[in-house]
Amino acid sequence: MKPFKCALPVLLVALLAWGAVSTSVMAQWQGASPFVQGPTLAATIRNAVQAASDQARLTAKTAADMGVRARGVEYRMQNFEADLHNLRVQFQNLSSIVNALAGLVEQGKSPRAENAVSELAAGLDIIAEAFVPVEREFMGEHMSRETIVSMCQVLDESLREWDKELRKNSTRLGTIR
Amino acid sequence: MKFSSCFSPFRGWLSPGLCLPVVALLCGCGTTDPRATAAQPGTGLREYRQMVADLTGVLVAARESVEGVGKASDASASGAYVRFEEALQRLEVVSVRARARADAMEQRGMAYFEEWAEEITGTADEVARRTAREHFESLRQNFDAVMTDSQRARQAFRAFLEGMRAQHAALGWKPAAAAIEQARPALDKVAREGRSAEEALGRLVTTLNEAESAVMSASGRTPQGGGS
Repeated sequence: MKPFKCALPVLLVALLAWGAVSTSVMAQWQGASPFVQGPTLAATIRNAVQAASDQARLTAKTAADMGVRARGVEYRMQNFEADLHNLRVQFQNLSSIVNALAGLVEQGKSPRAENAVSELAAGLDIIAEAFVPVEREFMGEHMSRETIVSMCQVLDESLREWDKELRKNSTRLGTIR
Repeated sequence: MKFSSCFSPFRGWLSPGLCLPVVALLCGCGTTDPRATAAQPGTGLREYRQMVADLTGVLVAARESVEGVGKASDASASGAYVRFEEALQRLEVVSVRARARADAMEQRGMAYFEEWAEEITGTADEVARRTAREHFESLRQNFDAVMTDSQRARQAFRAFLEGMRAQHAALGWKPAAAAIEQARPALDKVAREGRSAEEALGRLVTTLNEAESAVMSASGRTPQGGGS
């Protein structure tokens, strides 16, 4: 009996605290959250980092697969347009998760964590420059297969490096005990 | 058995199905606050120096590939141009980390000085950080020097990268030897920009080494070996 009597107030306090934290975090999302809300800010940040890592790897794979298809002789303009749209959507999803992560980290008021997430966001902005040559050709008259393949390789490799950096930065983001 | 007898009055509803979420909840409440983990003094400076060193190696290879195209004979131009393309692609990938750090430092400015203070004091406590910031005001010169040289290096690197990209866009994927011949003056200019970027990165490494020494002595420690 005794252990449970002691545990009951702790449980109630924990549940109330969880509710308060979840409400404040949830208040930031008007739509669906791109990752699961944790019981604490740190737990939610961990989930956001994991979601960003998963999305980075998915986007890198999308780019790599597109690069493989683009090398094939059967690859046509309509394939390219669909692939580019898909790749852009994946990349945009990644940017959205990182923006959400930045919002969460801001609540912690740690310059170290905020600097880390700012570098990750800047990294994505730089990686997005890989789209420029392809989009320039797309707007022009001639579309080169090599430009598409090169974009895919740069995006694939850069995003895998970015994911490594994200994981290295997990300490700075305060996600490791 | 012990567990069962201890909670015997609740045996009916204290099932694993309820226990597991509750335990997970309590564990979650003990997780780290984003402010709770402080790094070793100089960690950020050492990381940045490593990024700059990694970038310098790839930058030198890229600048040499530009020179290689500029000096290539008609027979060797095609091979030299493939090396140029590969070097540009490598530069795009490897430069992301250092460029992102430089961009973030320019955007956030003093927040990086606060990170130094956090590393030096060994605490993420806001009051301690503020005290350290006042105490370590002497480090401001080092900080300002890092910011200035970082910005210069970023600009010099950017000029070189843009130059390489522009030459690649102009020449395309399999340029004729005549087109390369025509591009030689522009390629020479890009190579000179590459050398300027190398010098700027070299100065930044020196400044980062000096800043690390200053941070380490402010924290009563010795630097952990300078980078190239």
